[in-house]
Amino acid sequence: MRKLLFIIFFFAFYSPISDALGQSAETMQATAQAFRAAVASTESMLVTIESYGGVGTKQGKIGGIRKQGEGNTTGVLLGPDGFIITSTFNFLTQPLIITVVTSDGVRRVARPIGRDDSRKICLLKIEDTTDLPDVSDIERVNVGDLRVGQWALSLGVGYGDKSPAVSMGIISALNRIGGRAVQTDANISPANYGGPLIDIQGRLIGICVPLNPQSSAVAAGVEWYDSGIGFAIPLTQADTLIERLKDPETRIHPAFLGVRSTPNTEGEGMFIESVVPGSAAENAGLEAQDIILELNEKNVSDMLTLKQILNRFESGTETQIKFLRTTSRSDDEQEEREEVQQPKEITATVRFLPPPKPKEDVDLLEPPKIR
Amino acid sequence: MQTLKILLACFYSALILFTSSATDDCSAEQPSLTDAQRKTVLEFQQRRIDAVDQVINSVVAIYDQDRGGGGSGVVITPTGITLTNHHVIIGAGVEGWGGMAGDKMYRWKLIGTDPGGDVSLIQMIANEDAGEDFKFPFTPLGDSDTVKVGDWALAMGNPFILTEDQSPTVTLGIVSGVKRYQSGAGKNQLVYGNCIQVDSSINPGNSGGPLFNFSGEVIGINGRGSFQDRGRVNVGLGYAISSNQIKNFIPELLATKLVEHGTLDANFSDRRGKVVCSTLSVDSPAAAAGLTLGDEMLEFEGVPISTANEFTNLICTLPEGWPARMKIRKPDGAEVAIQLRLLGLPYARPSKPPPPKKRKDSDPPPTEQEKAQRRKIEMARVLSAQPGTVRNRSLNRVYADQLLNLWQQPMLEGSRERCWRLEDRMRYNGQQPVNLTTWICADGRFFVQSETLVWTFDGDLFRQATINRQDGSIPEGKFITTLTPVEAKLKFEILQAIAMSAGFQIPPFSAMGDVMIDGADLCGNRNAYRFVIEDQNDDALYFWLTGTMHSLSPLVLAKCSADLDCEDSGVTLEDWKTVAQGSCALPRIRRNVRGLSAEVLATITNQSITKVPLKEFEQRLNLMSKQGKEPDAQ
Amino acid sequence: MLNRNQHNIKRSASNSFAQSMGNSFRYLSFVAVVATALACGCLIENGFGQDNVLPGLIERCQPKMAKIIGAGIGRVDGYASGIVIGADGLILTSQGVFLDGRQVRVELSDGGSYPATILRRNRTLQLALLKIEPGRELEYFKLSDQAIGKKGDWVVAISNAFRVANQSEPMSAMIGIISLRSTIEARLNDRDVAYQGPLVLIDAITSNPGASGGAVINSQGQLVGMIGKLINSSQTNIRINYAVPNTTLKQFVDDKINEAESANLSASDDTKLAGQADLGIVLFAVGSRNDPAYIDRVRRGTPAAKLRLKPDDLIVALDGVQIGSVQEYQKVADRLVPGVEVSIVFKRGSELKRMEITPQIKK
Repeated sequence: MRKLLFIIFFFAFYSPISDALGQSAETMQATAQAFRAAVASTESMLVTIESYGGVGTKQGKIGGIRKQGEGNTTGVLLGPDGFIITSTFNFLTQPLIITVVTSDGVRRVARPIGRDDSRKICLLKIEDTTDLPDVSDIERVNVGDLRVGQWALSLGVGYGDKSPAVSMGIISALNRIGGRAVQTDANISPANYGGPLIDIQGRLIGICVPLNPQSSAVAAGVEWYDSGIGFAIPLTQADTLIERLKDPETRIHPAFLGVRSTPNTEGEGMFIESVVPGSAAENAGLEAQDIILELNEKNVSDMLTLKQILNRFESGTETQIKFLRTTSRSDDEQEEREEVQQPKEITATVRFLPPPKPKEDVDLLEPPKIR
Repeated sequence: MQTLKILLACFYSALILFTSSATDDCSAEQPSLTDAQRKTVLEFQQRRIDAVDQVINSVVAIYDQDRGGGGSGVVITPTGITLTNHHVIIGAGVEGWGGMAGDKMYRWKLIGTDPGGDVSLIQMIANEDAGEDFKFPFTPLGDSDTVKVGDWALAMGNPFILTEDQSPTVTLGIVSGVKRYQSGAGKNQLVYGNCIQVDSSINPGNSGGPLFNFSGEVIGINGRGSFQDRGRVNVGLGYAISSNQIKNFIPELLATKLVEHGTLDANFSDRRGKVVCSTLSVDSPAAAAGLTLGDEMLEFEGVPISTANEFTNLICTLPEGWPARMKIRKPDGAEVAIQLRLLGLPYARPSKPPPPKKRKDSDPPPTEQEKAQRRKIEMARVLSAQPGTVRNRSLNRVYADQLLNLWQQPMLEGSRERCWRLEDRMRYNGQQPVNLTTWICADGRFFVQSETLVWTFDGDLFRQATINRQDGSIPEGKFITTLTPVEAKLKFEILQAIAMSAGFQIPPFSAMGDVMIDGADLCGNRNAYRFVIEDQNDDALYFWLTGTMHSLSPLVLAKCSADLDCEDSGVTLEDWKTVAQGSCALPRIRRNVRGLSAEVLATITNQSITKVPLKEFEQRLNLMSKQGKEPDAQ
Repeated sequence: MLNRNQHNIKRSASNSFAQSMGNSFRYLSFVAVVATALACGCLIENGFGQDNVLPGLIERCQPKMAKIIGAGIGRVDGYASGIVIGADGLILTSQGVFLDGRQVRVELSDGGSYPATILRRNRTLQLALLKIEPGRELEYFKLSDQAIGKKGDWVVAISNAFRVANQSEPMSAMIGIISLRSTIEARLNDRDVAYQGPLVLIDAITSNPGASGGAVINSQGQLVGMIGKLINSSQTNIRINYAVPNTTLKQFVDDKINEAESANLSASDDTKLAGQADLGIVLFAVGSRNDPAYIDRVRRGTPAAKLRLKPDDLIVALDGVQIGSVQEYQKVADRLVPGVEVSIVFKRGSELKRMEITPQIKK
């Protein structure tokens, strides 16, 4: 009887020990296994993009941007019709030829089609779509279901290995860059631009891209590589976008207003020092010394807030701009002297245009003719 | 036998199971998760999401008056008191805008700042249309001494001014090191001593923002990072000022001071495994307290010291005037305990700012340069204030009232129309105990009676009378004298009653004068707020409240002298007991103490506390104010 | 009569039962004690079931870490991290200019400072082995000859990046996961020796001054590798964060590889006939060597001609290596061996074709 009691007592004592001790070490091992499982379940959609030829370096810079490496880049296969989504960053060198290696190791030719320079994403199309890897079982997460603090893993093949490199982080914020991107502190760099950001359950969140809300240059944001500041374009939001990009002619450009500003002299609004000729601002009737009060019914106080609002638009779209005209224009000198200078509030429709091309840039995906 | 064999088999299998629980199963082809593993992982993730949700609303994106610039902060009380970095304030100015999650914008203004430790306190201002009950989302300060290397750490803030809806950026990492030192800039400024090092991503713009643990407490304020040649971009080393250092400074900051850090005016170096005093100023307080060259430091602030760096780190966390305690060993082997108030480490004095230009209505609106100039002037005025002095008396009084209200609130409810009689035994050191009776009234009036004397306070004047030895009656006329508040404070029997009754006066000590926050102090080894009441003779009464901004312990120590260190006595109030159905508290032990060393001169121990009708008290009080009449029978 | 016998039998049976119970009981108690001891041991090992296993893990590693201080170079203080790999004072660190000075010092977690002698250096692997005389048995990392750590595993990188820790102060810890186990090409800068060899890429930022020589451990405290020197990936041109795998470390420490061998770690064995292979392909060479590898013409009677390769075909891959330029083609072609068949992938029009080609000896 004593012995039986002893045995029962030991078992009772025993389970809490193994329970307590197992928990923390097991959590680490379970999460590592979950990372592996998530990566494995999404590997079928990864493609390695190989670029051939293109613009050589001019003193180490292309388009004003310090040349990045020449290695393979990453893309995501969207489906059996052979569309691949990737980042415009991967085509800085304006390659003449693009081939992609899908997860089954098969190499195929691909050609670039639609391109969105405001989100830094573009589509490629594989011609030979026979026996493409099946990606239909990969789920996508709705942006609305994302939670700040949840895991986010970035995947990329930019290090040159067949197997993708994975980096772990969390979702740092939603609604960044004009509401276009989610933010993560997983390593995001040229090694995975164009690659997927996935959650712990292996569902696709978005495509990793370099972004900087204050600049729309093609490589803007790359200065933040591996810094814990990284962005991804969520995919479910982008579905209509993807349809547009399937049209080879589609070129989406960031919205450019065309004003130069100095810090304001009035309490409210952004003071315009000069207007770029031929720009959307000029077309909307803005002039130097005007003060922009509102854009899209949101207060504009400086260039930073202006860019934040512009990030929500693309070129070709319209919105209302409200500004203050402080000068009066009159050919009649006498009128000028007599008129009381009253600032006039004007509301106009502004239709955004693309930003002017930097001198060294050419249309990046139109390969120059050879032979 | 069979059953035993089965049980044995169970033991073995349990043993094997448990030792192999660490290994996971994964096939080379397709790693898979068991259901239990999936549950563990999702629960772990959810814990972190919950921790984020708990605190994210208290993070502030700090902008200047024109909504430009970028820094971060965290609200630590529901009234909107907010922490940030001093170098954020230098950039933003003495007031500005703060954004909080949900696209909410509030104005803020500077309360006090500590350039030495890079900490500032600002006040978030509720919008005009906010209701009476409006409270800011806030996160309390945690205990940074519990932080260990390897703990998870969440940083929140506004790096690179990325936020558009005022939601902060959240980054995850671990604590990489504790008690780290990062040297400062300028003269004695922006020193991060005893700070927390993390690999959570911290970038320009994160400055002033909080570092949280998974329990939802602020363990640090992020402010610096190590950067490489690639520029000011995170490379995995960020530094946060520890929350415990900040707690040492909060009373100084709330007092609206420009705070200096403390120094012993002595240096210690490592010599052959010992930490030894290597330089010492002859007129430093340390020398006056008995420190000499060559003395070995054994403990500082209760922490054993084995390297000079440990001492340097610790002293960085203390403000000027802090009663630092240390244990040293003299060359002859004797161990001595020293306590002294730290001197201030001076900053470079900015040049005197020009007086503000008088503006007329017809003047054109200020240019950006003029605005920046005005900001500079305002900031220079803050930085050129005499360190340690209260810059803004009326703002200080606001916070003093808020803190006192925190203390008094639980005491005052349900105490109206009440009076208590405390029967005590009082004993001066080396003497026989005597009886003492104190009547305390809910409006702050009191009546104290020893075996030979009576003292009273009728809400206006202090009086003293000698008891008739024969019949115990209270005589009238020339045997009743009026005391000044100064004289009253000097008598322990009266001082203890003053201290108790203060809790019932609104505002406390109203008979003595206005209460202000004087600074940070240590009381009974706990962080304390030191308050000061200056009467018209510029004679000061100091008293202390221990605790945090959320809950303050009742009065612990009251002193009657302008000089904190003088030998005049003070009273501590301890062992508080709630009476009157739990809504009011009174101290059962009151001690007469001398100086910082709290040397006890006398102790009053309560025997009983009884509620008595107000009438009984008022009868006694009236005896003392009658002039030339026969005393009534008692 | 019968009853008594039965009774006797019963009693003897119960007696023997009691005896065997006694024995088994002793045995059971022994097993129970051992099990409890093991349980307590593991409990301590894993931090008493607290929320996080990392603090205990890191604390237990600090005695096995070393701070290396050597000669400064110009404005830069010469310092690095190191790993204790032998109880008698063997320290592993990264090879660097800071070791070239007269004196190299090692600081351990107990605050002790020891002069170090350099036993061995390998400039290709960028590793160095030091020896100190600690005067006591040191705690150390055991080097396994099995590769430790899989992709996805948690790792903690412990190092003295930016020399934040001095004397006995604990070294800094960073959290990450293993991103990739790979053999990748990387170089510090164009002047430096190209690093070739297997690497464990991690996503904690270990590419910081002073971090090289630090330890990368898994969640069980085993050594995954040593933090390597600052290098950029040739592919992406960005800093990479990596550890030299424990297997390479073990080979180095066991002196199994010498300088010459390590330089050829990833080179092919059969180099005798390198440079003499001919495919018969002449590439279009009017542009620069960075241009794509277009075929200009194919010489008659060569392997390329037999495969009917044509002008304007674009060579995309040779012997499994992606060919992006004339220069890259040349590099691969130079190391082909006559008679050894390799694969060739080329683009004709919009089609990709893959074939096998056997080079012949150059005439």
